[in-house]
Amino acid sequence: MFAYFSMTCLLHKFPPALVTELSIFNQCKAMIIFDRMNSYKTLVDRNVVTSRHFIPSEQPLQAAALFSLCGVNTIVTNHWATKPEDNLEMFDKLLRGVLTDGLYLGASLKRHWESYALEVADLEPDDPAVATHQQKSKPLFRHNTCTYGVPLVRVV
Amino acid sequence: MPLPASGIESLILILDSKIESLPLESLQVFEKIPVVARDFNLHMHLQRLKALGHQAELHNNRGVAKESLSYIVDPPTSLVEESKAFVGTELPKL
Repeated sequence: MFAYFSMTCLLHKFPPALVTELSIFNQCKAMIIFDRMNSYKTLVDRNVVTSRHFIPSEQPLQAAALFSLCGVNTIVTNHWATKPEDNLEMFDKLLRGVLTDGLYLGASLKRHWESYALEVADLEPDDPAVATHQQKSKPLFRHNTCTYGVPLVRVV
Repeated sequence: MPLPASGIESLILILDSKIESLPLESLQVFEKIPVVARDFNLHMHLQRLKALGHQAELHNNRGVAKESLSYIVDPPTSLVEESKAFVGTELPKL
């Protein structure tokens, strides 16, 4: 399994020509890519605010397609850019689910959100933990990660 | 993996590139499915499963009855006549 966490887009660091030449990816079964971060805006609407750094070939779908053609069976990536600290938290929860709890790669974050909701379900509405939960459960965070390929893969 | 209440262990979405940037996994209809993922097409998904040594009979997978398949054909205007012939005569033969 290959995990990538960086402010720099993976395909910017490893251009497609290099990726296709690297034998490392031929042996890779699963990838976790958290490379969409933006310190200034929580969400970049690429149809409205197109960054000068926006490169169509470096978007999640294109990256997933490229790595799929290289033989990677499962790719977990982000739809859009969020703050680095939020991305780090999601990266942490995902890896904990997969490596510590033995969950399927495609099910780890969903399970995290479900158990997180249960944790605060019995708390009083004015409990600070409830406010934190509401803040962290915004769709912007909850629905950012998606899985391409075979989701029922465990890391053993 | 035991079957969940929904009766579906996992679901693969094969989306058009025009709507792929939407988080469709979050739709309420998929709420009870433990694992929702995406792929580019059926062929590629089958290749991935083969690469992992997937055995359908070990994963509650007994296939899909042909009679239960549904499809939508939305051809461009230039292909309407050909599509009608295909849907009307060729598809039922498959």
